[in-house]
Amino acid sequence: MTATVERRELNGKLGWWHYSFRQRRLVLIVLLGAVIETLWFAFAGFELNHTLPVFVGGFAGSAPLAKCAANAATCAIPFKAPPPFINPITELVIYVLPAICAVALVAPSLAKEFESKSIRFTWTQALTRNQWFLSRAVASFGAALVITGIAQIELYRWIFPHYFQSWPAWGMFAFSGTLAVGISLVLVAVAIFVALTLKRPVAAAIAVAVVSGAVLISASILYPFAISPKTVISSPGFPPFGYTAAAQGSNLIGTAFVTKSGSKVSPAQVALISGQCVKDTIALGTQNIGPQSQSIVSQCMESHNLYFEYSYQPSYRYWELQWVLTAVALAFTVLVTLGALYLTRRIQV
Amino acid sequence: MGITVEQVTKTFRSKAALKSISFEIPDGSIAALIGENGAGKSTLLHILAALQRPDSGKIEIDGSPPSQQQKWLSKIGFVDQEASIMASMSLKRHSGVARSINVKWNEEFLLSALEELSIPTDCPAKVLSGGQRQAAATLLAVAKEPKTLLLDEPLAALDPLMRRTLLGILLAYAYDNKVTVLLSTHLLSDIERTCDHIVLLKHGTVTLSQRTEQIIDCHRWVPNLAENKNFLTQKQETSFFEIGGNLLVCSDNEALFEQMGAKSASFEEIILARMGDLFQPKTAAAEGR
Repeated sequence: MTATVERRELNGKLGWWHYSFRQRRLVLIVLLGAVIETLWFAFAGFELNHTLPVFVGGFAGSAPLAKCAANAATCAIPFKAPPPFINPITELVIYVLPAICAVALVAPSLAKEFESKSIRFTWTQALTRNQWFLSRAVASFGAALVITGIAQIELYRWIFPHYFQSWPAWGMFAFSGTLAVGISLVLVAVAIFVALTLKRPVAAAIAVAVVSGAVLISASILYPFAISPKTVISSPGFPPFGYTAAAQGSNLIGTAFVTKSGSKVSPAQVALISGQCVKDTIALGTQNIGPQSQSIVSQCMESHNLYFEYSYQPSYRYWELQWVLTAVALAFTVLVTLGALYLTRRIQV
Repeated sequence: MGITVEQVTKTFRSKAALKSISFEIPDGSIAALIGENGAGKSTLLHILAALQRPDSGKIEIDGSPPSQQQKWLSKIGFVDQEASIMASMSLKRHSGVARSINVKWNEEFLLSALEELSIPTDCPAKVLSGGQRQAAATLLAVAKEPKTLLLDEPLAALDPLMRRTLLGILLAYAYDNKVTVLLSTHLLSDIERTCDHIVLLKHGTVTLSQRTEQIIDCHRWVPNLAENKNFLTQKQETSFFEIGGNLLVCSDNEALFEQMGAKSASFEEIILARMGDLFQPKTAAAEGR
């Protein structure tokens, strides 16, 4: 009855069963994920080796086409069929895996401790709130990093090689590279903060889902503007400058009609000039819509001082943008985590 | 050093849970915190356990104010009214986790006490009955070997046999180790038998904080007669309660009781009288107005 186990005597004796159920469950989930990954990779490798390359023509949006010839008419993208389990749904799941981790794992498990009041048991043991927060934060961020790593491997192995043949792939900017890691850490930090604020698993999961959606959509839309885009005023020739830029791996953000000096041209004036140019081209007897007639229309527009202004991010800016936005995400993560730590120390249960 | 509470106030939004309360519990005492539902007992215990902060006032437990520091936390044991333990963990796992995070851990005591109460240690806590969970939570708090035990209704969900056994274990531990215990409960018979100090909370204020013997000694029933009432109103040191045809009088003056033909009052009668809303104490000064 009087035997007292001193903590220091236990050093080195902490085995698997000394960790909490939640910690053990997390490790098992990660191990299970790794097993599934291995099986999937084996399956994917088999699929790739047994799928004949097929060729499809055309230009896939702003996808980089470094391997394509400059002439769009002859450009062809070597295309391999993705593994059968890669469909729009599984692809979306891969993109949002870190968000799923924040929504379904971190926020509910933390909030559950408050809802079940088991936090009162934990916080009245000889465990400071700082230590409690640290243990939860390390487990949550660790899980997020593992899951993001898995998602990245999936993206690079399955989605990049099949849909995009060369680097960089602007289309999934927010879901790849270092930014994907940054965003997943932000989402986990937000999940911790929300769980501590709401203290209800379902409410916390819903709130984190909304925030995650907002963060991912904002990041996907706004990322090109993190660094001021490059602009070029080009003759509305054919093929347009945008095609060349995209072929060089740039990310075309937008176009606008301007004069040669860069002044904006009103849509009414653009409609008037282009309408006139189309009429003139038809009057010249070029009936078919094709490169030749498009070139004549372009020359006509140029003669009316009507040019295209292209905004784009060149390919070399890909990693620059990634680093800048990752730094922003990490700064935000630190800020939210410190806020959550402050809340932990002040919270009343 | 025990527990010292000075002018502690706690307000939830606009509702005052504790209104500038003060009391002192001597070191090594087993004190009962009594009061009607919503009187502020749980709030007070949460504040003492550093789970909540008071709006104002000063608290000292074993010479130091409640804090989130490991050194202080290792000195207190707390049991929540809802027996807040991890539902998915077995009691053995609880013991393992608690052993790894606490400075001291008396596993032998815990396991033998659980065995004595026939509480299974291998199944998840969620399959235990409410009473078993409550008893287990109390024993987990004791296994920390704290200097102060704060127990929020630890006996409420227990059957009479388990209650008696658990109380026996608790008291033996508290007396052997000179532990200060503050437990909130509604079971007046157990309080009289086990507690040596009473703190009575009423609408967020402490209306009584005394040794149990003193409380029983100073209260008497006196017939509610006009001459007795008139006589009592002249005595400055005396307070009394009108209850039906009788007056419950609190005084240290034995001669006074003899003069009025007083009869002894039971502990339960005293506490019920002092808890009840209808029975406001009447002092000489109040009657004089």
